[in-house]
Amino acid sequence: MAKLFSFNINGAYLRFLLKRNSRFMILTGIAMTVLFPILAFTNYLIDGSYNQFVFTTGRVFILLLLVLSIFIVPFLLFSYLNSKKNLDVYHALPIKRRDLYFTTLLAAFAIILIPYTIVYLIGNIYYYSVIANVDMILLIKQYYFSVALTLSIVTPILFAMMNTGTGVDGLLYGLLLHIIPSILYGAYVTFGSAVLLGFTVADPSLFLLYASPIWAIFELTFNTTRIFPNPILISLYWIAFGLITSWVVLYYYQIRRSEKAEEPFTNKWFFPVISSFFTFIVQFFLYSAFITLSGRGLDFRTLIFPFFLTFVMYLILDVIANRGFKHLIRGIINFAIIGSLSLGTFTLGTLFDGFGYITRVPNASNVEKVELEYYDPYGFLYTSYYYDQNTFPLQKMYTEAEDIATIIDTHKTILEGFKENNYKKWDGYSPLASSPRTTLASSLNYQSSNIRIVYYLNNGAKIARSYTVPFGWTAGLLDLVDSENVFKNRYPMLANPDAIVRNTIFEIFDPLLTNSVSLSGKVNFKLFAAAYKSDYMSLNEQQHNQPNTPVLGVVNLTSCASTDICITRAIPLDARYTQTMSLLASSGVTLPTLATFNYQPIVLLPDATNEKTSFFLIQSLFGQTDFYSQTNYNDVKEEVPFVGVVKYIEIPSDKIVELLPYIRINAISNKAIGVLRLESKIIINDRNTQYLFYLLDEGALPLLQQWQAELEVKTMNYDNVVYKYE
Amino acid sequence: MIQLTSVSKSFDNKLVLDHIDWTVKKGSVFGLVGPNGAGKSTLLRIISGVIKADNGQVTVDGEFVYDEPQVKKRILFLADEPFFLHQSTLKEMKEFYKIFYPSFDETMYTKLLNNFPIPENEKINTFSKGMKRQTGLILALAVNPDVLLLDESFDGLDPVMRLTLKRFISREILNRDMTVVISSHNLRELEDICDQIALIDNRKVVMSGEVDTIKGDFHKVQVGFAHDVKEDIFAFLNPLHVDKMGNVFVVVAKGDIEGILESIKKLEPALVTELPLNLEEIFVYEMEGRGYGKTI
Repeated sequence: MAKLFSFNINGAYLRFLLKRNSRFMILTGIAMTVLFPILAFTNYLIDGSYNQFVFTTGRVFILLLLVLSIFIVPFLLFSYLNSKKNLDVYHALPIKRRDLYFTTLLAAFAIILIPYTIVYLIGNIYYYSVIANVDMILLIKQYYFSVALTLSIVTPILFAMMNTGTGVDGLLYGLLLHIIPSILYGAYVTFGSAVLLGFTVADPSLFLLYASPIWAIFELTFNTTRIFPNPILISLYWIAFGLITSWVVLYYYQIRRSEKAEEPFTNKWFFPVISSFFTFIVQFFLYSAFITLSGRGLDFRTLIFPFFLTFVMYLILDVIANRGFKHLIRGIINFAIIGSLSLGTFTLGTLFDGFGYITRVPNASNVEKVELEYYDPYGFLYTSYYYDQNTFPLQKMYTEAEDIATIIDTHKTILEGFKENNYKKWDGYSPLASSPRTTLASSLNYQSSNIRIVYYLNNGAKIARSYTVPFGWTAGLLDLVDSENVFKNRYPMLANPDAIVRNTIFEIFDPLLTNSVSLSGKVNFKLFAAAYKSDYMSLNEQQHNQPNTPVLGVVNLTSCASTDICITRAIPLDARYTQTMSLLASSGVTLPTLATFNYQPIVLLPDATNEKTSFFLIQSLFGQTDFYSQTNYNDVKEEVPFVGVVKYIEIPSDKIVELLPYIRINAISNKAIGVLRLESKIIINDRNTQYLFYLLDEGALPLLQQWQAELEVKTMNYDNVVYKYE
Repeated sequence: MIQLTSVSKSFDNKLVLDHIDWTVKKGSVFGLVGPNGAGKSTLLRIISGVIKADNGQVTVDGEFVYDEPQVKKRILFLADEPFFLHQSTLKEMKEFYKIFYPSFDETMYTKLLNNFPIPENEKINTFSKGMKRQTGLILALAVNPDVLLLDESFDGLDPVMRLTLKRFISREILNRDMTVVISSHNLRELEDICDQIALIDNRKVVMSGEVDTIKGDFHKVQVGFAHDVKEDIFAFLNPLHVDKMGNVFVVVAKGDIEGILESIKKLEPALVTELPLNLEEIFVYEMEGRGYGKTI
């Protein structure tokens, strides 16, 4: 064993190989130069300026060429393995086989890396000289990653060469070894997605990061945001993999039967093992993909086509391997065994619902933290406007015990809902038979929400689940509204004012956005942010979701970070925001009053004759502005909401002021009172509607009844749809 | 001295060499003959360390060969199909061999180039088959090894080149005490150059020794009778071959010629004459005696 780890590099032979392959290096170097520095220079000639993106693209191109040359060079240097007469010379040479192997491997390494290193250096010196604020450490790290992973990409190709006797077979199986991890991952993901309710992968690229060196070289080099797992540790893992597999390859090199050169395989086990495994996972992948595409669940008729498709694929591999049809019967028998195994495994995995995968929910005591991605149709917790993960990252990680319990409860609620529907996936449109919630949100089940939960357990493991569910099933998550995470997501600039370099808009409107006063130069932004955060965090979820105080004003704020990424938010104020109100007052700000306006406000009225019209929900000033009532269900499905169903009254402009004490924004109500609709004078948050909606509090009921008696109650028609996209 | 002790080798469970015991003395030129597929090339590959014997030992001057560079530096194996690096010239191949063989002799290389008119800077892949052979031989001889293993290396050479090569090898052996093992089907050539010969058949070395001794051991006698006799009259000689034309027989047998002639004379033939027998005939009759090619 110790002998295996001692070797000598034959310097003269190394130099000889480098000299003989100098033309290849020159060619690769020229190709890389064209695709990196010359590409950037050409772009400069066209645009007249340098673009960072072009340099990044150039680096991607030369890395692609590096990977390509990793596939070519072993065949240039180790091609003697595929010829008996060449082997007669090479293995008769007075050099130990391991020395010959390592000298050739080192030469391959040098031939691959010399042109890359030179062009990387030239290209980045050029980059450094024309682009400001270049992160040199990042460039060095990128170079390190590309070099560190080179060996781990070379060795699977060499492993294939050591087990095959011709260049074509070596290349074919070298490629196969490199794509097997991707297909394996694809099979795992498609199987999970096809048959396992809630299936998701905690870190989509994690498996390939550890299983595919080609994936890893690109991920580590260009995904600069990854911090976990530590990229350096991953690179060390791949270096270790490369070194270990180098010695595995050496072992096969030493026992490789020279007389088998020029035959497809020098190792009789190589083809059966690789082709069987490859066929097995391709079958798994295709079964899952066809089941997903058919949408019929586990139906054996769906599996017939992929079964025979892989049969043909296996026979082609078999015919290539045997250079003919002489072992066709044996191939058919082999395939029958592989096919039976894959079908059996697939069926068992499907019938047993992934062996408890579907129903598993961890105990709160075992959970360290939870990552939650939640896309509700109203943007209560996660508004999606103007997010840039680098500048204003979404806060998804919940560590408070109360928040974790809320998420686990919601997860259980979701599973209860699916249980009542036999754990069938929901298409996001068709009504589901039942709902586990009977509270205010139960009528919202025709709206879908996407939720993804990743539990980080105390033992270091992760459990990840993802669902598309009716919104009502996730309504429990609205309890998270008082968490700091939600505050950060709603108002990232207030959560981290130090990251803001300027506010392009900082003003306050009256509640109906008719009149504004600038706050710039009057109110200290950081003090405002601190005051508002303090006020926000002092309210509980009930106070947030069902406010009982009228809106006093809305701050319109557009803040920009150093990256020139700007974000806009409408920030409501009412009497409960005491510190903020005091700050405004002490800064000499007088809240703007209602200005005159020339459009027709209307109040939408619930259908009093229908018992199912049990509530309105409205979220007016950020995220999607929307409101619904149970009776509108069918109309919503027709995509012409409320037409012919919703009644409304037109309010004279001078009477609107009487409603001000009762208007609410960012609110949910389980009682149908009415909704005030105005035409928007300004657009905040890039909303895609021309209307503003305000929920009316129960206190407005006497006034509405009076107006219904005095004014004409109209019905919506196509010309005055209440909610219109532009 | 090359020493093979109980060397066996199988390919895919097919036994190619079966417990071969064979010795080649230092400074000798050994001819290796045998029918196609007898294992001659396999034997040379094992001696040169290209492949490893499944069983037994191979030593050169008492040292193991396989994966032992110090020993292999003294051995050069020239396969039946010479190898050259892709798109290489003779000059590049010289550099290649010089890396591995410190014994490479530039003077001899130049001398060989003068004898074999091969352009040094032209791509070898443009050469004819004969020129490629010459190129291989130039390199092999310039390496100046102690043990030179030539696997059918004379094939494809024109008669002048063959003669030149034979002279060259003969001279070198005299000068350097080089051991040469040549496998060939052309026994006439081996007869000219080899002082020893071995016959491989049925996975074993069935005959090995000095050429003159072997030749002295096989005899061809023409025997004529005045009356009609049957072929089996010579059965007592255990002949390798008997030809009958009327009452005249040609008998090939092994043994002492005096004894053979004495025995034949007891049959009272009208005519007894010993005919000349070359190595190729010996090989053919010996192989016939072993059943090889008899059915054709």
